[in-house]
This record gives sequence, C-alpha cells and structure tokens, in this order.
Amino acid sequence: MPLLTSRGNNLRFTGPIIEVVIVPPQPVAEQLRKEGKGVPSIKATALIDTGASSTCINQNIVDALKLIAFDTQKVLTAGGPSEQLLYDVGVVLPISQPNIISVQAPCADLSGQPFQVLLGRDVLSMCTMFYNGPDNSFSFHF
Amino acid sequence: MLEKEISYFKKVQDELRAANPNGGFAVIKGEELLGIWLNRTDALKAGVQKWGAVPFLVKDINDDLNQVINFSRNLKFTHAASDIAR
Repeated sequence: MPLLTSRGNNLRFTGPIIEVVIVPPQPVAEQLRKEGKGVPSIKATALIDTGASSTCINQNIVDALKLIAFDTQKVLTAGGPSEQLLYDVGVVLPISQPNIISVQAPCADLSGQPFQVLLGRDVLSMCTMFYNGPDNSFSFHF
Repeated sequence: MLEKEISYFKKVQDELRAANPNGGFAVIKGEELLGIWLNRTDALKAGVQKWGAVPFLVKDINDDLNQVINFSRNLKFTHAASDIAR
C-alpha cells in the first residue's frame, strides 16, 4: 500500500495538506484527445478534511479545466442547506499515481484559504490516515 | 442549471428503478432519457458522445434525492443548482 508521510513545524495550524493534480473526467478527456486538443490538468494544494462528506474544489479549478456540471446534490453547512451543482473530476494523489480517483465535487469559494481543494471522505473512504499530533506529522496510505 | 433534468428525473425515477433492478446511471438532457448504464464513467461517455461537452444529467437511479452531504466548515458555495435553498 503506497504511503506518504509528511512532517511540518506546526501541523495544528497548517492541517494535513498534500499536493494533488486535478483532471477532467475520463470521458471528457477522451473527447478532447479525439478532437486533437490537449487535456488540461491543474496542480492544487489540498487539505485532508474529515469534516467534509465530499471533496470540494475552488472556482479557479472549474475555470482552468472548463469543467461542466453533470449532477446536483443537497449540501448542508453551518450556513444552512442548499442544492449545488457537482463537477466530475479526477484526483491524482502523490501516492495514487497513475490511478485517478473519480469524484463528484461541489465548487466553493476557497480563495481566502491556503488550499484550493478539500479532500473529503469520498476520497478518504479509499485511504487510511494517521494524524500524529505530538510528532507534527501525518501518514496517508492509499 | 440542470433543474429541468432533475425535475424530469424525479418524475421517472420509480419507473427507472423498476425497469432496472440491477441499478444504473441515467443520462438525461432536458426531458430526453438517453439510457441507463451500469457505471458512471460509461454513462458520462455516452452523454459526451451524444451531445458533446455540454451540461446534461448523470444520476444514479437509486440515489436518495433527500440525501445531504455535509461540511463542518461554513463554506460559501458558488454554483447553486437552484436559487432557492431546499
């Protein structure tokens, strides 16, 4: 099982953060290739968020990959419920390459945050994570 | 966006479930049902082949439409499917 271990100076403030690559869903990527167009991808900083049912992406990712919504979902936050569009995306973790994890993610304004992706429990359902507070480290297994 | 498709899906969901006991993913644009596929990737592929990279609905026919995903953060979502909070 591939393993990533990260150690920082102050894990409490940074949180468990990793670099990921986000790509369009496979059928859209195939269509772009057929049309002779390049398949876009974007590197992003992701916070592993056990408080998120689902992965969530920032607006810049929707724009950069020209993503299209193919589903909707009722979403609940402390601010109340709403119904949001979901974008199919592929997530490549540093430890999952070359596997692409397919998820459906809502888009939120994360512009004030030091990350552009919340990796939610949809991805965590395929992983294990060990958060070692006293050691300022975490391990992530896929 | 996708409001028409969701509304149509709600109308036909029971019928789709009855006709597809093994489950599947419905592909819908407007009130046109393209078909049912056993996995989401194949369903997306069929929709993209038919209509191109434009919005259409891919929905698990066994989805509970009242199911809610939650976020402990107070996120500001920017792409509401509807103006009205439900």
